[in-house]
Amino acid sequence: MLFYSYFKTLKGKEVTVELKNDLAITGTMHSVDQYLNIKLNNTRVVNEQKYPHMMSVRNCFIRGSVVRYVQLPPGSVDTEILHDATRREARGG
Amino acid sequence: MTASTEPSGCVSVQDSFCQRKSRSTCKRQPSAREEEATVKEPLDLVRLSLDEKIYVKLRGDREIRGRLHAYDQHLNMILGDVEETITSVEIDDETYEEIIKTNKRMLPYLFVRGDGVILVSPPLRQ
Repeated sequence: MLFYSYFKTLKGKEVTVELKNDLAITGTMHSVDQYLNIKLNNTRVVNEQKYPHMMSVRNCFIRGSVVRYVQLPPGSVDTEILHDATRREARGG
Repeated sequence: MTASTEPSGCVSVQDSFCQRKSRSTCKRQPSAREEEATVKEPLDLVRLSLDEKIYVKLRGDREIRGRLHAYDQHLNMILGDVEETITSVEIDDETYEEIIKTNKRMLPYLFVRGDGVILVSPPLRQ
């Protein structure tokens, strides 16, 4: 539940989602669910020349299981809150 | 076969397991400080690495060094000051020798999905 809660705080922020097939998509976080499926708006592919078929995609749903990384905007990471939430989750959650 | 016709042996094994379990939970409760510092299960090692530099080996010949800020039971993680290393092997066209290449990149904050994690190693001494 920790990361679901955290990703909900990123709504409206710009993130880059890197998929397991090496495709990297930058977009505005629209929503996230319990499986960490992600919906992005105003998307653009990081390496457009390599993936020209993605040029017309403006928003998309990404299945959580195909995500490798999410690059987070530095301003939206409060490490103290994350540490506390992690300890709480490790103890009993 | 219904539950009531099961061999009594199964039931008693389960009973004794439950008893043992409940007895162990009756033991003296360790103080919060003690609980923080002991490693009883594998994930405790990760817990003790919170806010420390760790090394993570991932699927696809990827490695990450970074400061651990959050994790969960799937080993989903948020790391800071991340250095990712991707190792690839190329074969020289002429000599057919294997050339090992490493690509590195730095990222300020990174969420790593747990299903790609192979191992996590606690604080790096440098």
